[in-house]
Amino acid sequence: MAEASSSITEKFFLTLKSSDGDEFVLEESIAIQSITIKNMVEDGCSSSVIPLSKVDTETLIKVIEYMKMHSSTSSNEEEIENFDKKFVSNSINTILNILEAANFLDINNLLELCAEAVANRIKNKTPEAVRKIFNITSDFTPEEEAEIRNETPWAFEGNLDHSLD
Amino acid sequence: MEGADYDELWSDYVPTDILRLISSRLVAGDYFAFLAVCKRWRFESLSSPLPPPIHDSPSSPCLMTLNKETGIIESFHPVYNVINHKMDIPNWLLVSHGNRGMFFFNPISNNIIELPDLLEDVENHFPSWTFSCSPDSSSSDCFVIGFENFGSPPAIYIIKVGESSWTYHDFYNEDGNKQGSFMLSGCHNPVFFKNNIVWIFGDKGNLGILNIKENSAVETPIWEFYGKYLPRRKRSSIRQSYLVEDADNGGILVDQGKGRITKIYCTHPYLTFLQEADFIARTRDLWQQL
Repeated sequence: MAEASSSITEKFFLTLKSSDGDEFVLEESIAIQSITIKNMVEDGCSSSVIPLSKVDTETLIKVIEYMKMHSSTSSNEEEIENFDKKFVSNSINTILNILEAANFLDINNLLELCAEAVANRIKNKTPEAVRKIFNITSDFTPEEEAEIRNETPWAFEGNLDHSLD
Repeated sequence: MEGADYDELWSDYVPTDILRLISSRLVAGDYFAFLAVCKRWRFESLSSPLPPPIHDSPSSPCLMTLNKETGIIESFHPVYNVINHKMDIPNWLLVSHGNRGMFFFNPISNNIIELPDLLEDVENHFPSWTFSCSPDSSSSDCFVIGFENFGSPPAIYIIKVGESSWTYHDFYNEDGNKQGSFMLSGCHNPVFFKNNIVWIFGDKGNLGILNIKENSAVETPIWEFYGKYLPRRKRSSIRQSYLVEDADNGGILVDQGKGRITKIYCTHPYLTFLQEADFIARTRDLWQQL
């Protein structure tokens, strides 16, 4: 298809290289959903391989899957919706990696989708459960923690979810 | 153990804007739980200037308190339990009440100056409003203008205070738009209004100047456009910019906060682009060159 004679249907391809050294060839029209890549293309820096030193292979595969689904005119709204639903059911660590990649690549829709997914895992949880999910150690002193709880005690009461799902 | 690799990442290295993106989607109890997780999550979130609007839900109103002793207005965001804006009490505030009406309110004297209802077929979906001077000024007429946030150039809605009806001007047949498209980016457009001229920053970083003709709201005002587009990566800074008058030089400066002045316009159709210039030193040189 790349050799189609009409310039209108001619497709351009870009090569993206993950931090693990794996290369992925992607249609330019799909890849430029990333504003970072789009700027590189417009500035003429995309003729060779584009190194993405902050994105590992596993994450890049997910990001490319997402861009393919969201760029093509062949997928309808329902398909995209189902894809997104399934996409955010990835493990929290995968979502966090994609979130960082989307931030670096400047793919706004993907950033929003993943931020929403992370926020949804936090909703209705206690701070202790959130810490466990994100593997964070509290650095508040007991006094500071008590003070924070005293400011808005209602926020730490009621039927909160202690699970780590 | 799952998550072990992310310990460092999520306590120390997660970029602030990602934290903000997540915390802005949490409200009420969820937001406070988020702030109670660790110091970084708390202070990065609290130190950000404005929580962005909550996604997919009508943004909740802020509560405004006026402290006449300190002369400061605070706007308080009840959902986030934060004061997100402070300013000196101005003489007059332009206030909207619902779809139909606008009025002026003076928080010091509690006076109100009513404006006529908007035209029947126009709802108040104009996100940007500005006015030229005190509505009770005896020395000059006060114009009130609302800008559409779509249309190129944007349509406007205008009245001279004291007149009985508003006038709507659109510019669909305008062919003088030599700079290509000029659109506004929503309700945060830096705007400056003086001497019947409105200076307003477009969504791509060029400047629109709207001239009111014959000191009249009924006469169609004239749009003019100046300046090059900002590089894409700089456009997000437009919302944090302000237009201020450069009184010494009769020009307009675009202040991006923290004392960085990135654009300078004078009242002649001349302009330049200074990248993060040290503005005092550089503007002096520049004006001397002219």
